[in-house]
Amino acid sequence: MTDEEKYSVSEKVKKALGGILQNIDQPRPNRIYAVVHQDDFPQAAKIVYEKLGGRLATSTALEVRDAVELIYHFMLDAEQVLCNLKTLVAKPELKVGSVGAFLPGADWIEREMAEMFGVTFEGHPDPRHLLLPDGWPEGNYPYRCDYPQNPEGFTDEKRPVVY
Amino acid sequence: MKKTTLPIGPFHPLLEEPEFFTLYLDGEIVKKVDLRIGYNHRGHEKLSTGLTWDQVPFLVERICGICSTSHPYAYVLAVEDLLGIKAPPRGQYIRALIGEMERIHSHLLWLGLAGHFIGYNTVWMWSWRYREEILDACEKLTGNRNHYAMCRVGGARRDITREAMDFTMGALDSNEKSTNMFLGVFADDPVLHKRLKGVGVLTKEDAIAYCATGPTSRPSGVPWDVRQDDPYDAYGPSLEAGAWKVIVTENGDVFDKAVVRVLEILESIKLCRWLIENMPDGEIDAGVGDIPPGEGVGHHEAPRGEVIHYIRSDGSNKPIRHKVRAPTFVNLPTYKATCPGHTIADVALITASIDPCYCCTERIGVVTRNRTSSVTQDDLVKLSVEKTREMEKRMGRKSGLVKF
Repeated sequence: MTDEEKYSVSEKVKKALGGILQNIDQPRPNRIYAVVHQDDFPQAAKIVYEKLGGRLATSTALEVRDAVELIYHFMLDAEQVLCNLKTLVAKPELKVGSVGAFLPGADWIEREMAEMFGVTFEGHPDPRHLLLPDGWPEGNYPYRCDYPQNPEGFTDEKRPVVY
Repeated sequence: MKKTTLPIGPFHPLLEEPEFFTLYLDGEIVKKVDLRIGYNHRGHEKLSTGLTWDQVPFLVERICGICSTSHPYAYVLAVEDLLGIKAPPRGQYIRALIGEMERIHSHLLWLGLAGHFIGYNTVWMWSWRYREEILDACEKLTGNRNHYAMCRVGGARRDITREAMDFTMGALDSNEKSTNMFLGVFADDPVLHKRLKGVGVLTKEDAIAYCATGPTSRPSGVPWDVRQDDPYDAYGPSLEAGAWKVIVTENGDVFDKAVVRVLEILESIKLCRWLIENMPDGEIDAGVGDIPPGEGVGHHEAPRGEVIHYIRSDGSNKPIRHKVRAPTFVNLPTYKATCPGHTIADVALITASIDPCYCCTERIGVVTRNRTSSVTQDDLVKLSVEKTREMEKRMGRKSGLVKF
């Protein structure tokens, strides 16, 4: 694949996503960053997975000021381009449709993002804890910026491990 | 129909790492599998945001004891993606060489464990014996058998000598012979065919749906390999030169997973030879300064599949978010597709077939004043007796040990 061919992939993504695409950027030939609204997010992920043949490598959640940013890294193996599908999930509801509902590969990573960042994935087939124990106190999301390093109000049995 | 539930774990009888399986059985046949992880969560992603850009490779190197170069490799590729730079050619070739040496010894380790799990201990002992040659070559190249610390943002951390490369060539030659012998074992041995064929079949559709990677998806006819799909460093030129190829088979059972790994060892040996023969001269490090605000993704094909790292920078000296995904995270859920319909005895094999990541150390070394020396077995026995005596003294117990 030459660089020109790789740059033409963003046109393909633009065409496939159509009106729901808010912004698209290709800073390097093998990296695309596409932004959609949170309401359109599962639909956009479905298009990238089914129509463009994307393989969900993983997803990243990232806390920004009044939202949690979700980035789903889809590898388009045939085109040799990594397509990062982004959305902002607004606080304090933090609700977004689940991609794991139709893509089994997103099942675990959405469970991890749900417990670590408090994002609710609506329609997720198996919304249990993944890495944290089942008795983990509600409303404690360890990867949030405001998560206290030495939380008060926990009894000794329930106190999260603090290093 | 009466159903039985069989819990296995979290201390797994076969695997060294804690995992918890719940098998829903009908007689001896597994109908459904549920698995829980998280007993080993160490919070690397959070820890990483408290370290500087150059300290992070040392932290992520310790995520895994076997594929120890994969994580720093993916991390430095992510930072280089953010910066929009490429390492100098010699740095690229050194990193790729270490990555391939690691693939050889990791696959040999798995091969030994697989032999052990099916009760074929000759394969276990022999493949680990041949793995030693590769580890010795790694030690010659980098100074360490594992945890090489050769990846650095912008290039390689240390140069490698011509003498070490010659030594590695010798190790590769002798390893090629033994790997060919293993290939013969898998091709001919009727016991292995009987035990492994048709067990734990992962169909092509399931491999795509679960987004499985590496030697878990490639035996199912899914040709995903990051080294080929998004060529980085020296992998692009080596592919163009035809130095190696991606191994893909069609059946998706445990037998194919083993064969793919053995064939990948042979391909890696070819690639290592090509890298050493074509090793360019010159700088090894691009000399990276400040990291500007931005984001980057890097991925490396580890022995077990794709390792992917995402980093976000706000222009300070630390990442504000660092996402790490190891291949086993996507390969583990494939159990849900592969285990049902098999007996409990087969489940043990299937769980091992994806090569879940282990950590191991194998040898003791003591630092004397000027050089490293090895401990003999007698010394080791003496030391452990002394340690036990010391503990007994502290606990106020009488010694029950035979005098040495």
